[in-house]
Amino acid sequence: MNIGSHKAQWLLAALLIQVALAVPMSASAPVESLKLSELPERFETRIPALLEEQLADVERAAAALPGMDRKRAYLITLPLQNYIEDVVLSANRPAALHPRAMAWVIGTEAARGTREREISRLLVTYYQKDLFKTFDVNRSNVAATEASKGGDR
Amino acid sequence: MIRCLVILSAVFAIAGAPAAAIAGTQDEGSPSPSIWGGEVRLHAGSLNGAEGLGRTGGLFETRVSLETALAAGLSVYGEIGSGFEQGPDESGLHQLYLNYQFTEQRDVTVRAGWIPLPFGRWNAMTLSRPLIKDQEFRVGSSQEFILRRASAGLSFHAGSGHLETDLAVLDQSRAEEFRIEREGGADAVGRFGFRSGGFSAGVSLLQGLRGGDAPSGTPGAQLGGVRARGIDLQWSRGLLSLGGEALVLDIDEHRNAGYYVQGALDISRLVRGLRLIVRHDFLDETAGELGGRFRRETIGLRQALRRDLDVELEFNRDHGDRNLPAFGGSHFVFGLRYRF
Repeated sequence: MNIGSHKAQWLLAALLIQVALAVPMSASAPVESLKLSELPERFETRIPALLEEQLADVERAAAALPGMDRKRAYLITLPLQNYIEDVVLSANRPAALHPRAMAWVIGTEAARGTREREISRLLVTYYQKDLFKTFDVNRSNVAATEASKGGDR
Repeated sequence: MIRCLVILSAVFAIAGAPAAAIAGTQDEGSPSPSIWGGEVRLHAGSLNGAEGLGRTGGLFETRVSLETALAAGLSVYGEIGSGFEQGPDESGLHQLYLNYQFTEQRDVTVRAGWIPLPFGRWNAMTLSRPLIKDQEFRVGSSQEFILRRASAGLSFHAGSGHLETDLAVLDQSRAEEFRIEREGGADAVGRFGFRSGGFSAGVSLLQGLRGGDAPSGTPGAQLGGVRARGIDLQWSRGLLSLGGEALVLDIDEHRNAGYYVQGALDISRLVRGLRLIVRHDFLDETAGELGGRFRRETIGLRQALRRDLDVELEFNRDHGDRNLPAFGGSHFVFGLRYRF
């Protein structure tokens, strides 16, 4: 079969999707929890794979906060990732994240009962307005919420 | 091939030094971040190949990037790839530069090496590149000009409040050629931008400073014969992003013009990770071999199957004065992108 033919290309594409889905994710799903304090306050990158890795860490940390769990946190940052790749990185600008503040916002909004879709949209809006750097993530409160989450289990 | 290996070895040798530098900049308890990442893309369907306008990146393309701190304020970024990088980037080096930020408080940086061309935007949201940025224009009898992604040179960036400025002088050889032509030309490039919230706007200027066989007989030829002016706009609100770019490129008295407008809407409300993308693209070319007007409408869907795996399906409808090997009619293009 000629590799240049359209039929061969579509077959190859279907095969590769199967293979890719079988490969474990590098930017993994929130399997192991991560403490909020383990996230960096600021992270800057131009590399999409590193951006994804950091956003996966944000979800892992957020999943351990009250009102949130692994299933709800999974891919909650995906719209933000798409926005950054399409608009920020494509303009040759680095993506500047505030992972600790992002996870804190997810946890805070979840505790208020905000739905995941709305939290995803808020993350994009806050990034566009550069608001994450203005959030004062109080470490003692974070520790308290993490402790209370642990106590709830 | 040997050149690629040499470049790759050099990049990773440079990257071996920074462990101590990174350790000093990390928060206590934070896991050490990775310093490299890559991606593999597959494109199936039409718009592949070296001929035509607004190509995709060929059947397969790969890219490996590395970014790390070397010392306080000093970092290195490198990128090599195979295949085309959404257009005319060929196999080999895509970018490799040192970046120095004077202070953390002020947004003032200097770059040296094979640096990005600070003219408008680079990537489009679609699988195919904008027509005006994919076309290679002929200049004089033997030279060519393209709004390439990166070249060897020096650039300066400063940002203050909502304003930003980029100035650069770059060789006209592409980064993949990994050479600096003494007899060739250089480009002086500048972009002046405004950014506030989800809005950004910029004006870009390029003046060619050509070498020995500059086109003659025009005022522009004395300075280099190539002059480009462009504007770029981007507006985003929540899950909707709209943007575009328009530019005029004068080459040896011949004017080429083009623009594109594009939009993306995250429709995760319907299906998680689903994105709708549209683009309208126009090129009026008089300086090249093609000579004519070309228009393309694109509509596409991108679905994130996982965080690191996207599939994209795009439909393109081409209109032009002439039918070319990869331009004209309708095309479906399928894309698969995996990051690691």
